[in-house]
Amino acid sequence: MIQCLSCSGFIPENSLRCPNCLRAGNLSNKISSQVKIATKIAGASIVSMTLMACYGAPPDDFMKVRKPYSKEESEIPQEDDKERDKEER
Amino acid sequence: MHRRLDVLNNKSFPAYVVWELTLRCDQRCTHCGSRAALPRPNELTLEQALLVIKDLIALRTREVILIGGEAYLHEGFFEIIKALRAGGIEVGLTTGGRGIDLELAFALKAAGINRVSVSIDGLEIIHDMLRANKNSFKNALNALKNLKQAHIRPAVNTTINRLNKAQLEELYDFLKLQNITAWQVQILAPLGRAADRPDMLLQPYDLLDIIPRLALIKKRALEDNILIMSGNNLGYFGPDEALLRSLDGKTGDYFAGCQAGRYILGIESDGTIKGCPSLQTYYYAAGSVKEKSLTEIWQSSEELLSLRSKTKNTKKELWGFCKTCDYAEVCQGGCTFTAHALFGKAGNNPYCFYRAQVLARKGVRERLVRTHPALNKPFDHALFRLQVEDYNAPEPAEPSVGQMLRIRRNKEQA
Repeated sequence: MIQCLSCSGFIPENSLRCPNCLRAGNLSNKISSQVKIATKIAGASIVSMTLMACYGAPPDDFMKVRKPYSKEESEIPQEDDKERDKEER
Repeated sequence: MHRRLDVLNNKSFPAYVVWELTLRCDQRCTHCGSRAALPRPNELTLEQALLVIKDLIALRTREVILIGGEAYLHEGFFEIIKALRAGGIEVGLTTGGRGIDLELAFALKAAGINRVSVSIDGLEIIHDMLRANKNSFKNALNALKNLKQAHIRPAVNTTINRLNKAQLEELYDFLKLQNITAWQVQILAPLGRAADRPDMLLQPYDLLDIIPRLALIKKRALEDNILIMSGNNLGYFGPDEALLRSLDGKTGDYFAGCQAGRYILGIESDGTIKGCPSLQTYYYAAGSVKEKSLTEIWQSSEELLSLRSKTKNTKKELWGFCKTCDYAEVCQGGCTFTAHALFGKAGNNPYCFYRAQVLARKGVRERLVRTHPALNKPFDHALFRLQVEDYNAPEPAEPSVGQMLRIRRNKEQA
């Protein structure tokens, strides 16, 4: 699905306007389609989601994209992350 | 990244498993979905649990979150963690934190746990009331402190309900001061003990207030390097969907249907397998690892196959508003266990931002009214009916915290 340029809500495949802000989606559809194709070409999956469960826990994946916010945390050993990175590569 | 994957391919596997090791618990929370207190009869022994782990490794499980009751009260707790880690599986723990002293925190780290999510459901008075324990909040904070000392990344999860919904901003500010790394938020579903307390439940239109506020908090959290993620039953498809569902707020993620039985698996402490830990056992139990191997259950159980086929039969299985919704094909009625907990069947979920917004534009809103009580079993549910009313209809008076405490005291005395 593509996102409305006006409100950031998602526009279902067959909708002509954004169900959230009710603005006509033609223009944003065209632009967003180009973005969508570009994103696909770049290799990022637009249908990916982060698995969650209500009795579960927040994902750890964010740790890879954030910086340590304190000296204390920066000292936490990260060996597991390094191993996982190797596996993923 | 181990929890993020393409959900539109057809290669289901139990990537993310939530495992209730025991129903034994050191707290008696008033909103506990599994009514945890004493262990279930015939809980899995360590030996049986190790066999399950072999299957999880064979099925390519990436991550297991241990829950309870309190998972650390299971006799084989540390051996189970070690066996999972030895099999290359990430292990996390969700806990009330009451028993996590410094010794246990270091033992968790030594066993291979890198992060723990502590349940904090409000600031001190509200949290302690929900947990039915005067010192629960202090214990949870101590747990966070001890975990940090043991070099374990502390996260928090919060179940939003009518008692704590006004505190979200204040709670975030407080949690930030505790140096948490992540905060998972979900809404209270009327499961277990929560089904006995309908006044505590959100009404669907509350989402029109809560979700935009959470979006603002998430924007701040990204600046603060703290991850906020919505649980599966908090949504759906408002303008803030992508922000709340994406790790960094930018990847344009959205709720792509319930993944129970497709990439998520729940294990109850007696070996019962379900597509998601919170699904109603009487309806969704797919078998027991005491009778069949986990691999066999995963590959051939009718209950799991039925959950997996949902995407193909979306329109057939939806009803009510969800059947005609613009997002029906993608959303598939939202969280299965939450919808089932309301009406005894899935496919129509009033806990939805988009739905509440559409109704609000028509000047109406939906109210959930309990018609049948729950049966007093783990993960049981009551039954509700939907009452459509004017959007500005007077709100029934909510009980104050003092009144709730008096009600509880009276019930305990009775």
